[in-house]
Amino acid sequence: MCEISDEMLMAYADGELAQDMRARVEAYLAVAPQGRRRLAAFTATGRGLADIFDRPMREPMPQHLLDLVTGSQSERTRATRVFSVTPISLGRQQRPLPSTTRTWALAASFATLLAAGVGSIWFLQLTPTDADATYGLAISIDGKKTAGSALASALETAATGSSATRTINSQAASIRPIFTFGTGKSEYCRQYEVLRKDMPGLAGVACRETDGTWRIETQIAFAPRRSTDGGIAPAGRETLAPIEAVVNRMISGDVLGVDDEARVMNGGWRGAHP
Amino acid sequence: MTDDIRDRMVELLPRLRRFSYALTGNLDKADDLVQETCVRALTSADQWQAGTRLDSWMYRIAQNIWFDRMRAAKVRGEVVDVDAAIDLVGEDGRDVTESILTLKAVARSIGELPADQQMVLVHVCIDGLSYKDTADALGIPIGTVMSRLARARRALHSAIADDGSVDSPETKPIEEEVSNVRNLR
Repeated sequence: MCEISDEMLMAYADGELAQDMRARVEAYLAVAPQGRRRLAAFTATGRGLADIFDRPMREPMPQHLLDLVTGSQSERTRATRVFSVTPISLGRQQRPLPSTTRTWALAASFATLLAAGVGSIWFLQLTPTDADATYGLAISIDGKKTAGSALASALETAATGSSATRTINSQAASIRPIFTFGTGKSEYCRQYEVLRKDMPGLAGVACRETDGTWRIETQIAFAPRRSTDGGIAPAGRETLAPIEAVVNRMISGDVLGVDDEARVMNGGWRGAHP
Repeated sequence: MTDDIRDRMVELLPRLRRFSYALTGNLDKADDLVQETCVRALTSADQWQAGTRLDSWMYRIAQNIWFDRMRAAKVRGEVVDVDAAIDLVGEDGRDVTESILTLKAVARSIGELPADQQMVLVHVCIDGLSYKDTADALGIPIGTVMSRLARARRALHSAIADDGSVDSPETKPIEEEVSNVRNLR
């Protein structure tokens, strides 16, 4: 029985050996107690080391380090822990959401939290780039940004709280209406989010024109950290601040409850505010 | 300075912080190390070659800072003590105490490894890269990865097997190159 080197025992412990070599190592270990002792040094120090030092992977990144790297004092970039994601209604306490909507917003946040597990997750609000401002969604007509067919069809038919999957630029995108509200100009607008795998997410507000198109009032890109299970998480409250500002400027009355929204949707997005 | 490298650094931050934590055994010290590493990386970003691994490059910067600090501390006659934050002990009882002691012991041992061994150990055992990917990342032969890794782990095992219940393997000279690496997949 030839001696097996430490390197080979280590590679065996790490699962790095091809089958024939693995068989040789096992044959050796079966008859060599000193080999089993040498092996123990490597099984005790394998890839499990990552678990010992995993706190930085579970806990939020200190803000000062993020600011340092992004070159920002919270101007260009804001980061928010997913754990502090708050219902999107929070910035608009002067106009509380109907309870059904608020419940959904909370439920959605927590569902995402659960799906996200305990990974270290935070969001970056990036300066919107032209590429993402126009990413398959918005086409410019007379200087106006109008939702492309995928986004428009989702906004036209998907209820608040649901998630519509559309293919945009050959890639699956999950489009989620966040809520619906009426404006002083007797039109209806919807805040939405678009989540894509491995790509910046998008958040925006679009309003239904009488000709059936959806005009993009504002849209920003944000970078969702992928969660540990490979899923993606929605925008945090900080990210949505510019969107909130647009909503607050435009909104007339309250956001629509679920029933009112369904009535307006079935009526072709016309008619006076419920 | 392109935004691209900043974005990639943001992506890398958690792992850089974990690397620093493994060197220092203390999150506050780790964050200090991460901060200085990022400052140096940003000021010398033009020295990073696109297409090479940003993580290996930044790890090396962190290592240099870490070894400078260790040397400076020794010159000043300070005991380099990763147990400074041991006040966490007892917070949640025995299990926590033991895991912190393990963490401190392992971190102390990792922190004192030669830089080359340290780098290989972190790539394989903490970042979870294969031997092959580690060899590619560091631009060294896979046999070198294995010999450095085996040395690092024998040292580590000796350090944590201090209660005598685990046999410390006898040390023996290791060939720098492993002859039969072709047997690896």
